[in-house]
Amino acid sequence: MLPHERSLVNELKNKPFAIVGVNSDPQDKLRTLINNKRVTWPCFFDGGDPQGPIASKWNVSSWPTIYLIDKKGIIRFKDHYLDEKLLRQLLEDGTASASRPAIDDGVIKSKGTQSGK
Amino acid sequence: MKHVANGIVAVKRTHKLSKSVALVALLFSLLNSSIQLSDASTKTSIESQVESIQKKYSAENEAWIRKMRACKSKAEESKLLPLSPTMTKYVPRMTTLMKSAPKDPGAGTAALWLVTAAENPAQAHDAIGILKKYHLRSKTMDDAITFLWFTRIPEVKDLLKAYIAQQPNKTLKTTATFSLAKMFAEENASVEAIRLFEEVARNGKDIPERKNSVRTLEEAANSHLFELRNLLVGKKAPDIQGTDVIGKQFKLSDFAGKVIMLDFFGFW
Repeated sequence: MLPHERSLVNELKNKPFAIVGVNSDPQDKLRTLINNKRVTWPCFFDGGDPQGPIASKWNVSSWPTIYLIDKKGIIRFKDHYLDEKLLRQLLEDGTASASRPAIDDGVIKSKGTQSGK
Repeated sequence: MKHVANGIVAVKRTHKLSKSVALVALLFSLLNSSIQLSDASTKTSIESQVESIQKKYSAENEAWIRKMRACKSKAEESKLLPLSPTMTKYVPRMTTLMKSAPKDPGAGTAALWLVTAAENPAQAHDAIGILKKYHLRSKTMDDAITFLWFTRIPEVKDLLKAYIAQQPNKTLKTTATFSLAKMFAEENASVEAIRLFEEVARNGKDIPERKNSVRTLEEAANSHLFELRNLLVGKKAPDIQGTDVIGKQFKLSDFAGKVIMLDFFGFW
C-alpha cells in the first residue's frame, strides 16, 4: 500500500489533499521508513504499539484502517481500504458535503453565512 | 465460516495477505482452545465422535496454514487461498450427532461448531436453538462468548441474551454483554450498542478484554463508546494531538480545509 500512497501524494500535490498517518511501529522502524522515503507524508508516532494512545482512543483493531475526512472536517468514509473514487469526488467538491446539492453550497456561500471554520 | 472469512477478505483486499492468514490462524486457535473436551474417562460416545471430526478438520487447517506461511510470493499465496479447507463437508455428520442426543455435552460442542461453520444465518438456526435450550450453562458456552460475535449471525444475539440472562458470574456476564454490544454496533444499531457498552464500562473495571490482554473491558467499552459517539461517518472528526517520529508536535487540525486521508498503519 505504501507505494500507492506515495504516488497519491505525488499526483495530488497541487490539490487540497493530505495523508496523515498514525503509525504503530517501533520508533526506529518508522524512522527507517521515513529516512528511506517510503513514507513521505506526516505521521503520528503512536508509541510503537498497536494499542498506542491514538489507535486505542480511535478504537482501531485491524490495520490498515482508513478514514476520509472532507474539507469541512466531516468523516465521510472509514474502512480497511481506500475508496479512491470518493477521495477524488471529495477533492473536486468546491465545498463540503457531496450529499448536499452543489447549488446549495453556492447559495450559502453567496449569502455569506458560512461559518468559515 | 464464511461470515468470518468475509471480514478477513476486507482486510486482505488492501495489501496484507500474510496478516489475513494470521487472522485465520488466530481465530482457529481461539476456536480450538475454547472447545476443550472433558477427559477421556468421562467422555460420552457423542463427545468422542464430535472430537474426532474436529481433529480431522484441525489437521487439514493446520496443514493449509503451514503451506500459506511457507509461500514465497503473493502469486503462490493467491493460488493457495481458495484451497483453504472447508467445514462444509463435515456439517451433515455433525448435525446428525447433535440431533441424536441434543442434551449430551457433545451435542453442545457440535452445535457451537455448526454455528461457526454456517455459511448463512439460516444454517445456524437449529444449532443456536439447541445451545439455547440445553447448553447455556456449559464450559462450551463460557468459552465461546468471546468469539461468537465474529460469526455475524443476527440470531447469535438471542443466544448471547439468553446466556447473559441466566449467568450469575459477573466476569462471564460482562464479557458476553461486550460481545453482544459489538454485534449491535456492527449492525449499526447504535442506540442498543451504546446502552450495552455503557453497562460494560460500569462493570468491566477489573476484567481483561481477552485472556492476557492489557486492556480492561471498561477501557475497551469506553473506546467503543467514543467511536460510536464521535467517529461514525457524518460526524465531525475529533482532533488528534501527537508527535512525529522525532518528537515534533503536530495536530490533525493543522490540515483543516483539506481532504484528509487518515491512515492507521504499521508493519510490526
